[in-house]
Amino acid sequence: MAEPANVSGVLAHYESIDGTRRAIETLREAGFDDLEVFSPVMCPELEEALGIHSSPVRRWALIGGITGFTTANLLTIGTSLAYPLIGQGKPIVSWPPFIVIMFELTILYTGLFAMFSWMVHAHRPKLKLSPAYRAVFSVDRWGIFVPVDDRNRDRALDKVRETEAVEVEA
Amino acid sequence: MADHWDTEERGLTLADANRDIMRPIMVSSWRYWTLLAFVFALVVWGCIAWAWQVGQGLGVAGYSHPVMWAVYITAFVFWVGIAHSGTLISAILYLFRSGWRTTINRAAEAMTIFAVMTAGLFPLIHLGRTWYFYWLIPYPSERFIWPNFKSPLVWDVFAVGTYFTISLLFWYTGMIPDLAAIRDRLRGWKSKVYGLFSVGWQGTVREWSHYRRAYLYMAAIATPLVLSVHSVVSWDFAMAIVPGWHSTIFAPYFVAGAIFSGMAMVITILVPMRWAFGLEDYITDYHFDNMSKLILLTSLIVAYSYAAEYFITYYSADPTEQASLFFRAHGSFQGPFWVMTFCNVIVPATLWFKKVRRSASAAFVVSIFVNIGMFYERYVIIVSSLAHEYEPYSWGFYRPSWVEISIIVGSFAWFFFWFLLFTKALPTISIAEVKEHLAHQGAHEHG
Amino acid sequence: MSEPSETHAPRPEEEPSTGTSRRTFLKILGLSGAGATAAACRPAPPHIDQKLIPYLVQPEGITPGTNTTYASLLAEAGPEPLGIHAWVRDGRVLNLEGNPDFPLNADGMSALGLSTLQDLYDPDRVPGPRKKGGGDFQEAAWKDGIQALGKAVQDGDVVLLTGTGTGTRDRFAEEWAKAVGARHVRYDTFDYAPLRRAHEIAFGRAEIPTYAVDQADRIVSFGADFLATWLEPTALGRRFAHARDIEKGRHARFTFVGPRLSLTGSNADDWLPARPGTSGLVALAVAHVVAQKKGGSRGLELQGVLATYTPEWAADKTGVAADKIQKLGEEIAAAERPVALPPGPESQGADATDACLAVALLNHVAGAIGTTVQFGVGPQRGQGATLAEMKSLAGDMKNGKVRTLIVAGPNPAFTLPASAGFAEALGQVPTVVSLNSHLDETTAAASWILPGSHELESWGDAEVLPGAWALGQPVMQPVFDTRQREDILLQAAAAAGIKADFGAQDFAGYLENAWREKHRASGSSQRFDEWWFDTRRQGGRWEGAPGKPTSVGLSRAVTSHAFSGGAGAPARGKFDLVVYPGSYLYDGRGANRGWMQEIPDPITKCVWGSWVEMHPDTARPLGLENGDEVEVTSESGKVRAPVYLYPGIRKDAVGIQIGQGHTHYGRNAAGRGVSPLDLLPDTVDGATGSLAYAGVAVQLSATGQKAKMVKLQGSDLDYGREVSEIMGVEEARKAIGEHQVDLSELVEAAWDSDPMSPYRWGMTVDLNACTGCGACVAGCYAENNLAVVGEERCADGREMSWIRIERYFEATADGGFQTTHLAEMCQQCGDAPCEPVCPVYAAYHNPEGLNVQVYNRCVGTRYCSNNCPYKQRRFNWFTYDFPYPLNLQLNPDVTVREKGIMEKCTFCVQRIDRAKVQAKEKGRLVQEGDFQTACQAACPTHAIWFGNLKDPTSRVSRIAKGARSYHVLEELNTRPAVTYLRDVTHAELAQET
Repeated sequence: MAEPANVSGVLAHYESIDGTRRAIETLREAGFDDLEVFSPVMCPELEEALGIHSSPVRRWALIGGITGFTTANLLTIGTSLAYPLIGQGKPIVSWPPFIVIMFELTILYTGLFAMFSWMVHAHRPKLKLSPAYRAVFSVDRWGIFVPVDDRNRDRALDKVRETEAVEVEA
Repeated sequence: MADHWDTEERGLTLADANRDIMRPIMVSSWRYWTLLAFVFALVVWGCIAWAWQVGQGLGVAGYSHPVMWAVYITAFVFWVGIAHSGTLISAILYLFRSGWRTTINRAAEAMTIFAVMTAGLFPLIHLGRTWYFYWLIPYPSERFIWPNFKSPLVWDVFAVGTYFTISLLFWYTGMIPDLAAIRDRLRGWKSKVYGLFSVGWQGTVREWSHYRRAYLYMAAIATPLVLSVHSVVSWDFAMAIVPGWHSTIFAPYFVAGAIFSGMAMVITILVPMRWAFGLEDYITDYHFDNMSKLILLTSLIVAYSYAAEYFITYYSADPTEQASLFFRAHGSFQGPFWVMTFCNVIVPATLWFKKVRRSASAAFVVSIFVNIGMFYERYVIIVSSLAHEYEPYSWGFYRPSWVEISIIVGSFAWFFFWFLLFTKALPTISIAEVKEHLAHQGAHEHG
Repeated sequence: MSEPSETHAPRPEEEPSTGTSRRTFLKILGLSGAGATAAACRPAPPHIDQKLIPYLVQPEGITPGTNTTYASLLAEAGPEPLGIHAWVRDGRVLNLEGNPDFPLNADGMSALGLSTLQDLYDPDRVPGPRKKGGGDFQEAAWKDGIQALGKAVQDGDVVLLTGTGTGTRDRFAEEWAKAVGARHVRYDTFDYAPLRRAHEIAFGRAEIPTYAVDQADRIVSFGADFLATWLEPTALGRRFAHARDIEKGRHARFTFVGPRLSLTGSNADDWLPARPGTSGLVALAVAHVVAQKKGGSRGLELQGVLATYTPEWAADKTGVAADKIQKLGEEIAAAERPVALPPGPESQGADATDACLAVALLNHVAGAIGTTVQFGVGPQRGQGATLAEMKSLAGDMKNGKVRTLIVAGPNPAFTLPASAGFAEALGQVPTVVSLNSHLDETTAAASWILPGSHELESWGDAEVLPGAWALGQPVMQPVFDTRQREDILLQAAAAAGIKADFGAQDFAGYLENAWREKHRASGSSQRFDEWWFDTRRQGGRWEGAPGKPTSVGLSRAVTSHAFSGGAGAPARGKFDLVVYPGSYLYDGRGANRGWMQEIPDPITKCVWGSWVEMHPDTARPLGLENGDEVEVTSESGKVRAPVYLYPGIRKDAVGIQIGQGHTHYGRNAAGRGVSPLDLLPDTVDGATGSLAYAGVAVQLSATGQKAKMVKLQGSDLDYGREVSEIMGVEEARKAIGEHQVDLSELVEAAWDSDPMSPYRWGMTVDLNACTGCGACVAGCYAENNLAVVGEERCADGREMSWIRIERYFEATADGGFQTTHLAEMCQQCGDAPCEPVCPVYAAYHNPEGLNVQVYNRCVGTRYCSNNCPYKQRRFNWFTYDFPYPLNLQLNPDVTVREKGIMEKCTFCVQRIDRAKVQAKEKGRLVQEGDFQTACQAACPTHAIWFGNLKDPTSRVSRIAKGARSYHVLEELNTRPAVTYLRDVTHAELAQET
């Protein structure tokens, strides 16, 4: 795969979560901070290792919920007032039945917001994959990509070789 | 017999999981296509019946004067019920961190989606003027007419609509890493298509971290949603003053019933699927044992509800209500009533025995009974109550016509048609989660 | 009028025949501007594309879109002449209402009468002249038909067969027959010969008296179904309700004697189930008791005759317990103004005259003659040929004495028992010319059909009471290419070259001449044309009629009269057959009218068929249930029909209704059900020779099959659910006497949530006044474009009727039962359960408290119907069609609904709106009596009242506050706008459990 000149670095393959985790720790101690770590499975350990603690997705979910609730209120009450017809002597604006609508819309919007916010924050969708990505990362291998320029390349290679990398690409 | 998913004994590796689960997508047999064709033919037949009904008028169905809702609404409730277990397994069990969901949640969620797609048809089929169905949806029109938000039917529109959207998103989100995996196994245009749907997933830890939370929140909201949807559906009946419908236990009663029938349908689907795709290593007796336990539990709740309904009616001393429930068990619809009782109360009791629970084939048989029983339950509740209301002058009878039967058969075909497509095009087990399970197991061994 | 494309353009010239009639028609109705009516109507079938030519000059007096009302007469509708107001719009008659000035039915109508609309617009009418050729009928020209008839008339040996009549039509027929040397035979299905003969024997007056039931304080019917099919049901119904008006402190106890509880019987307080044809013997025994108790001169002069006829003597002959007879006698003796009504056809046996005589004597000893039974003022009826006479006619026909038979009205081939042999005889007649409007059984045998116009298209009149003349004027141009019967005869006579002067070219002129005489006789100061105009406007002349009843004395002959003993009990394994006229089909003439087939029979609630009524205690041991087919066999024939379990019939009797079993007559009638007339031998009443319907023994055998029997009522009991309520008369008197229960709360509860609206429309239905006749249902069908759906769909409960009469049985203390008839329509609830469940607001509450249904908005979820506890909503399962020309009767004010839409009673919202517009023009609010709903207008007993509940002075709110008021299913708190008044009975009711 042809790499564009400006991006370059070291890519190491691993075969277990723990190996990957230890590697991350070593590399970060060595001062390599913006590591790109590929994982075939969801593993919170690696997040910790990389120092990722929270995600803004939760905030978006909350905002979504509030939006949904408000929309439901406007919709039910607004339309009832705009189109006031009496049924079974009930008040034009009668809350109890509207609560169902509010509940459903709250959930709907929460879901939508959560979904789209994670994509946005993960910079997805994208058609072009990162040059460092390898197909094996979706099978059974973990990968760490250390972006470095020519000056630090050798130092990075040394560090990487200290880890349990099963394969190293420069 | 293991009381956990014995992956070590089976010596599964991540690569195995990838290969095994993707096999159906990579290879296909003539059996699959003939089955698909057959199912599709049934769908077409159902469509013809519906077209005939729309052309002639609802009179071609077996409706009578007091019984204005019948098998269409029965089927609606039935399918919405089926739809429940999917989200239950994926969301609630996810929150409870029950590991055994891992290998069955994908199929269950798919079933949910298709069940809702089937259920959604019936309100339309049932309408007297189907071509105006969109009048139930709130949209600004030149007529300045809005739907009546006090009507439980409009609640349905929102509940079922929301449920469908959320389930779909949840299912899709869970599938993205797998799509990426498939993308990487394939070449050429197929790879491109899967690539498109995998939104360029490459499993960086950053992606995983956002993804994990989003998935968690969705699970969190899907849980109350599951409970609300069937409650709302049950209120279609409970909100009416029809004796036999107008009861406060309906919401929990229906939700329990929904999970009951949903679990049964999951088994009905998993057993043949596991056999066809040779997934015995992934879906094991241990999984059936757990599902059976859930069925047993819900069966007890349902049985309790039946009893409670009769007791409360007796206790209320309301003659109309009593007449209605007496009629249900002894009147012109006693046949369906006793079928229902047998299938939903007696048959599931066999699951008290571990032997039965742990045999896939036994579980399959039970699940079939439960499916039949739950269809009859809705039929009995809807039809027998309407046939025997307040005014003795207007007591009546109902018998489904060939049109209704064709449409019901067609709806089952429609459901399986989609499911067959799913098994061919998508991983029927969540690869990512299976691998997660294996990977961590590996981790424990090493460390 | 050949090309329909002309029909909308005013036509200057007509071919002479109808032209003249039309000219007279114009001349007569010109003042009221109906000329345009004539020009505008005669629409062509829809499939012929036609030019629409608008009026160039708007005709005077006609406003398109508004009804013009014409007074007219229905003389051939059913048992009675009905004075009507015909609602005509744009040249089409849309609806009929009673003529309030008319001395008999007044503003009441009967279902049968209303259904003549469907007879008029019946698609199965013979659309024009037809000639028999090659087995079936070919289209032919009028002039050929007239020629043929003329030729036949020349050949002689002509018999003219018409119905009976008391007016000019009858006189004309007589005159015409004389002129052409023909024999004129009059025939009606049910003749009153025995009644006349009995009164001739008793009082020397061969007439039908007026039964002033309204004056009576004790009523006994010895079999006459006087609320449905006997004599003048609509008028008698009104009188009956008057006699039982509990609020006015009256409530005459009513006893019914007869083998089967007919509609009339179902309104009785007591039932003496006498064997068929023996009710006269009961009357004798009762008279015996009364004579003893009452004594007096009247008693004494009859004691000789009556001596032997003790209750015990009657008991074993009639199957009625002696003590019951004794008790009845004592009660009658004690009563001030009792009345006894004679047997009707269903209890008319071989000794019918004796039976009528017995009742006459009872009335005499009871002192009813002159008070509640009035001679000299009774209904005028022509005397038709009895069965004996018809049989001799049939004989003549058989042995060639009749060369030409002209049938103008009756349908003896169907209405005579097969044993009379009329049908075969018909085949022996060389030329049969039918002037009937339908291809009925008699017409089917004709060689020529020259269709006569319908009553509503024809001229006619009748003397309904002594000196009271009703006029029937055509209210629209003929729907089909038909002519007034008399005109056909006139033209035939002319064609035959008979030189006879009828004083006019056509019947219209002939009739006018007849009325000129009346004008002269009346000595009125008015010029004839003014007088004639007023006559037409009010529908006849009855000033001062019928005058005072003449007093009559008992004739000597009676005292030596020997009464026949009557027939004994049926042999073991045999059943007495009860043959009775249909409430809606009458003698079969209602059978092709969709309404009459689809409105459930008032007693059995069955539709579209025949059934054999049996007592459950008899049927069950034989293993027979509702709908099991049985074969009923007599010496004269056999019929197959499903069993109907009816506790209101003797255990040793079976009942079959007359009216079904047509072989011709139209799509609805032909091949449907069976006719019990096939079972009757040609036995006749000895004294008069009229047919004995009672006294036939039959055998029953189950065929083991289920036959189709469509019963619309689900259950006969209301299980104490506050649906139909009935109370003892004492209780009622007490409640009313003590105080008016204050139900204002209940009335206010029905108010709509809009306090600004001046109206809250409401209705009251008095179950005590309601006889269950079903006129309201027919009225609703006529007004609201209700579709007729047919037998198959009725079987699925898909009938479209917006108002129905629910018939419930309430147990009595003596183990018997009381019947209540509950007319139920949409209750227009204040808290309507149907409203909030509709997702699209198709059902909502309008400011006047009406629970309206917006058809255009309905998507057909049918949730509203599920949630309606009264089950009053009707769904359009299909788009139902109104085959031409039935579509001409559709009310332009009311939408015709398409498939997939829910509908229900609207309280005739179209009439409400018109009333509001008219009131607005007058600058006031709608007031009491501005308008009536269709059901209210039709009701002969004023059981239904409609009005504004927000007006405390309105009659409806006053009635609703009455002591007998209740709401159906009140505990549901639907706050209905319809308030029911409990039924009242003298019978002791069983304690409800």
